[in-house]
Amino acid sequence: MIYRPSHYAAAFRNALSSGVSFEIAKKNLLSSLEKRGDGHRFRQVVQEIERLETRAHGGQCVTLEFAHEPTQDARTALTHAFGPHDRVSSTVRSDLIAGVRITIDDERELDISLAGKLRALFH
Amino acid sequence: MSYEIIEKLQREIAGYTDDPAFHQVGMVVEVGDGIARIKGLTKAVSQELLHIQTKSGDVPAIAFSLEEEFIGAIILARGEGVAVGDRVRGTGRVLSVPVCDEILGRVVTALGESADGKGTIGTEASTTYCPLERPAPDVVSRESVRMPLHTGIKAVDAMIPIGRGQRELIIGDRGTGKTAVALDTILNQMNDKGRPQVYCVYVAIGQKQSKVAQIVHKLRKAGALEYTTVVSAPAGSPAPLLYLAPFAGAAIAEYFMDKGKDVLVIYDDLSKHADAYREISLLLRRSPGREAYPGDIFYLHSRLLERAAKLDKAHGGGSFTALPIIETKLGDVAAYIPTNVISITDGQIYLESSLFNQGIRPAVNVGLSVSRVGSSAQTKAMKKVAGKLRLELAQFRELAAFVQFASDLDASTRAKIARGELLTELLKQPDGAPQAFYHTVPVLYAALNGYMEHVAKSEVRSFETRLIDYLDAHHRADILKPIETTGEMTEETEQSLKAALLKFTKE
Repeated sequence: MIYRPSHYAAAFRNALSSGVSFEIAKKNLLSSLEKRGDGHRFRQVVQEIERLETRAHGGQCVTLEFAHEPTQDARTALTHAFGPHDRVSSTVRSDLIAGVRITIDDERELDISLAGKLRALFH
Repeated sequence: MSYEIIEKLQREIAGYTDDPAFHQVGMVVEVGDGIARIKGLTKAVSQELLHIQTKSGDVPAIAFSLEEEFIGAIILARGEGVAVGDRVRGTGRVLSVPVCDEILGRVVTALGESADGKGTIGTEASTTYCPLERPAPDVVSRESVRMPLHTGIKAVDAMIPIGRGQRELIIGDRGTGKTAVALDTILNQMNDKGRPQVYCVYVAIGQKQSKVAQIVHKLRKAGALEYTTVVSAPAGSPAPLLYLAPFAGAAIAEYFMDKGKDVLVIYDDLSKHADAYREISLLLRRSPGREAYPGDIFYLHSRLLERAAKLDKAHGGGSFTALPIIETKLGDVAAYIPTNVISITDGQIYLESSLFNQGIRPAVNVGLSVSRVGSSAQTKAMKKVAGKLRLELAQFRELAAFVQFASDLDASTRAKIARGELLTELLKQPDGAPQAFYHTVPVLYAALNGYMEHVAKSEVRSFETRLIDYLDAHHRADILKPIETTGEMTEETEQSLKAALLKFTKE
């Protein structure tokens, strides 16, 4: 049986909500990953836990990908476009050429980068 | 040429409108062997066309497996450019091929793109996008198969008649002439002037590119390419394209059928199609069944072949005839895939290696071949002359063991053996030389009514050729034309034929 990062994340949150302390839950999660040879998926499990936590509080996981390092004003303006419970992260991807791409919950995206426009133009 | 390209690009750039909006997106989490597992795209539908955004451009894929958290997609191109982390966009539409009237005479891929180097097919305005998967016509919109589809092969047209709207399987070992039978059928559509033109689609699945090139050359040389489309998924194609090719052929056929035309589709061959589907299913981790084929292998072929139909007048009156080809191993027609397809189709033409090696070509085993539509799909003229043929050959086969002892047999048995040998020799036909049915009718009439009793076995072919030339030269109007146009041999035509045969045999 393959255990997905979402399975580990759901089990971890359920353990926490049942009253287990954070340190014990963390330790048992790590040993559980090692036992099943899924240690290499630890990062994905953490991302899933963060996502579940954000959703549980009514927020969204937002990823902002900028073509170049944004100015502080631009970064602040975009971050404030989202709610207090939203988890906003940003990265720089030069392959976007210019502009920004916004992804929400890894399911919806708003691509207003130049690379996206060129792709839409020629496909 | 470069000026035209610049013009086209300029129009596209000038006409571009920016409409930023949120789109559903997914991400490739696993890729290999032409299969990608995608996370996200929770609203994707089965068979939806996806675009994987790779560094070198968009790569098309189809959503094949919809699982709880992932989508298993088959990549419709060389998958080397796809990497983990690539974004995937849905298109909201199922895979379809662009079809227009200009697709006749062209060679296309399983995705409907030009493969003959002659540029784009048709214009945007004239193109219709036909879905590869479409429900088969229901019972109410069909009518009985009555109009014949003449193959030009004497043995088939006389004893295993095929009708427009029928599915007739061509089955045999490798090298028994299955593709030759199919190609002769395409070539013969030039000879069948008394009926509406049949448009042909030849689907080459997993064939050698050299073989496909030879077939295209043969069709072009004979002038048959004008009404034929070749869908090519050669042996070096990824398995998804081999899987899609027959559905693309069916979609092209349905385009013409919906316009009231008669279409013939040849799937060459479905054994390779089944192997490609097995490969895809195993890579998608679907549970293997018998011979490692997935559990829905029957449904794969049944839903493809059920799309062949004869529509009633209310739905345009068009027809879609299917000639699927299956390759057997060592003559085993009881294997898994052959028995599946035999149970789906409306009959089979069984080609035997032993007959082929004896020089009987086409190597049709008349005893094991059948057409479930039968004489309903035969012209009255052919029905009249061919009625006795199967019986005579059956009797000959029973006596075949005694052939070597012919001198010890009574006169009537010797006569039956001689007649059987004559008929067997008469039914031989060279490759690429289909015979129009209005020539076959008088030839069989002559053979079955004693006009060829005196003809030696070695002279049968030349007798037949001379007889046809004689009838073409002297009796086109009173014998051949009535048979060709009406499909019947009236009393008057029969009398004319008898007189002509008497005169010809005396000469």
